[in-house]
Amino acid sequence: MTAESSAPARGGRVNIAFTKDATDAARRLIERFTFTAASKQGEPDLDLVDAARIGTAFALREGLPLTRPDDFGPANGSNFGVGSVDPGGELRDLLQALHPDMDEDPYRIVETLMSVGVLAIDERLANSEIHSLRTLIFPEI
Amino acid sequence: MTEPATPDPPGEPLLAASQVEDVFVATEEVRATDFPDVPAELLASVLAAERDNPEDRTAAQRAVGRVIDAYLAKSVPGQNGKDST
Amino acid sequence: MRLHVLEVTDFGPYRGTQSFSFAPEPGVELLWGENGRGKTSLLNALRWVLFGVVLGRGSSRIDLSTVGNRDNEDSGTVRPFKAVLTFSHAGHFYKLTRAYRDESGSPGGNDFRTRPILVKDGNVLGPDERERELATMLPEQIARFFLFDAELLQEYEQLLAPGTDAGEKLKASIERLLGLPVLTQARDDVAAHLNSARTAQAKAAQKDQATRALGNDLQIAADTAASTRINVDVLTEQVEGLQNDVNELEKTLTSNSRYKTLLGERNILCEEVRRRTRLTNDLADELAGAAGGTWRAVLSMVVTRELQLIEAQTDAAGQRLRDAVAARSRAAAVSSGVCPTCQQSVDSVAAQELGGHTDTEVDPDDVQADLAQLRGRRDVLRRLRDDGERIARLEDDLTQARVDLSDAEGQLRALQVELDGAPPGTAENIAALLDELGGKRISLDNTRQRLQKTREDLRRENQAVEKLSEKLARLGTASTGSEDRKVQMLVALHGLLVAAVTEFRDRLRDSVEAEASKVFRMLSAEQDYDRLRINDQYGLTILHANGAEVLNRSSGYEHVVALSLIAALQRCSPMSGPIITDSPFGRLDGTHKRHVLQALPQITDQVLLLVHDEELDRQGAIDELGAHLVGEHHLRKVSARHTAIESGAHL
Repeated sequence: MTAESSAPARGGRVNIAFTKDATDAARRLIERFTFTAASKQGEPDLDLVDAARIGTAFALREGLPLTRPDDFGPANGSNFGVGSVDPGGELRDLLQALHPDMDEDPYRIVETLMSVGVLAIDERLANSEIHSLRTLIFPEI
Repeated sequence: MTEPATPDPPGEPLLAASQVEDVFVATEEVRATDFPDVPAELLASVLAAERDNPEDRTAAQRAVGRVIDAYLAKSVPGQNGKDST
Repeated sequence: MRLHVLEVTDFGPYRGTQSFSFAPEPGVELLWGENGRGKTSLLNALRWVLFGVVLGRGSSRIDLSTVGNRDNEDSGTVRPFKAVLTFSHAGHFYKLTRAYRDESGSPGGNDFRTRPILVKDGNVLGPDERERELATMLPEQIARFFLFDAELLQEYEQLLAPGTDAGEKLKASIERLLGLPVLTQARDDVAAHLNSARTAQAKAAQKDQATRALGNDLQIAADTAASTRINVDVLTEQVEGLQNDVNELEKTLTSNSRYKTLLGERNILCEEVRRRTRLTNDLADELAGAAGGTWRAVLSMVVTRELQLIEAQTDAAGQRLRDAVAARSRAAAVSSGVCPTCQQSVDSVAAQELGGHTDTEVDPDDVQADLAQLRGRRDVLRRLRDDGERIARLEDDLTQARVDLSDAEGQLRALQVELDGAPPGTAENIAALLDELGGKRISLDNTRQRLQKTREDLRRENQAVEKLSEKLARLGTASTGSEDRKVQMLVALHGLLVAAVTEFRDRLRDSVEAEASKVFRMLSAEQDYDRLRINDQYGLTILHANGAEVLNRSSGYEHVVALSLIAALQRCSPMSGPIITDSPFGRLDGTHKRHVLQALPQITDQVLLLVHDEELDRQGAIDELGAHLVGEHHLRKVSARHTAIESGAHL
């Protein structure tokens, strides 16, 4: 297994997308973590692609299932090319390193994880379990 | 006559009545000791003229002038030196 | 002088016509009222009816057009008001009315004037007589020792530094109170008459041939001295005027200095806000840049865990590999009879032993493949860059910076509100006032110098006149007889008055010192403090029994010393009057308050204290005053702009 390949494996996805609900959640996440004045005026510090990556990472950390749940719904929210979500394939490589036994297209998995991850974060933002980048990165025990 | 210099004992509630320093009295004492040539009556009249015109300087000066002239007129004319009234 | 009834109509917060009746017996009365209810206004009503003056903070005058009671804050409307005071003095009964009203004659007119009317024993006095009577009974400059508030006591404290302009003025007031002007003015008036007498003497001498030349010289000398005297008077007036101006400017600036301070604070705060804003923005930019790495930081925990697992698995696989290789070697040794490792032959016993091992068939190549995969995963995972700690720290710093900025902005807003409360143009005013003050001070110094020089000139010229006049008198001709006599008498009279001024001043100071010390001992609770010593400016120093100066006096003692002086002045003054004071107890502790209450009835026989119950405990005061308490009143709030004067204590 190499870490270098950037070509999609096994006829993999070229575009991936949030579900509608996840798109809303991602927007809320972006709004919540704004820092600069420019960000407050409509040029966000974090964009939806950042949100996608954070959601994916969060889902992996929380051990959420890689397989798409039955009630997932259509991924017809905001969509992105895999090249912008995962330039250089870093995320895919990490995913494979963490889960060497997965048998799905890694980007389909990313598409699943980014939505469930972002929705999970959204819930914790709502009940203030997460209230800062610090508490997102270092969950309180 | 000023208050005696000995103070009341501390804590005693009653303040003895004070004597107001009287301009007339004090000046008369100076006259009697150092300036006996100046007639007492003249001094008293001059001070009274001032006391009665505290705000109006012009009126006061005129009043003093009148007192002086009145006094001079009363003394025997043609006589040099002291008044003998 | 004893006050009977003060009636006010629409004065300040006193709507309609209201009366305040002073108790007829000698003693102390209390007027209770919270701050802002109208105690100061009552004091002002008295000031106004007596002198036509209403004072505000820092003893500055208040515009009369703002005094009348009104319903709303419509400052454009000028309202009329009136005060009537009945009192007795030297056996006579007086009724003084002062009314401020529109005299234009047309409704809604705006020609507001003040009309004073004084009735003495039932007869209305003409304007000149009225002014004379009022000036004799209670001149304005000394009223401050009878009707005073805590501000006067603070003003007095400034006097303790010698040489201040305020000190000169207050000293003049004190000397006036004590009767000195009668003497100094007599001295000056007699001097003026002496001058004229010398001129007359010169004129008479000119008639006689023998004395003409001398007479001419004398006249010229006397004229010169006369015009120099006029210069001295003019310069003295100028110095006084400039002193007043400087005082007024200093007062205005003092009340404005608060705004000056606020302005300074605001500028500092603005700079602080700017600095913190920059810091906040820089931190925000840095965090925004780093935030893109958040997903890696989130992942890093699970990556670390996985790496540990991989480590363990690698160790296990390594072991498995070693086992697999060993198994293969054993199998080879059994089947070939030769150890693949050391090439020694394997005998049957050894072969049996080796063969007895039950080895699961583990292909070392498989294990190698596993190991390779583990290594590959490990390499990928290790490459993960984790900036989590840095991101979290940046966020903390940014949050703190935001809080600090918000605090500073809040302070700035609060400050701005205070500044906005200032009258318009205040900031510009202060700069202009400071300029003006600087200029006036320079003028004052210059004028003082000129005055001093001119006085010197006058002294020399007077001496010249005296010499000539004596010379003339020695010649003693008939034509100058009566003039000589007049001059001689006036010379003696003048000399007497000059000596008397010095003597009287000394006596006054001694009296005041003795009286003040007596009162001080009654008021003071410090065993160490023995008496007071007075300086030229009527400043008082506390002395120990051995005569040593008390250098670091207990705080609040300025108050006690000031009260001692006021009491002494009352007792030494030929004038007698009521003491009416607002907040006399502000800085005194319980012991001294008690002492003050004990002392007041003995200082004068009509005292009115304007107090509030935070400042004075009512029951304590009642106990302390005993039979000396002859009346109680209180101010009741009817509405925001209407206070009622009522009798009795408010309970």
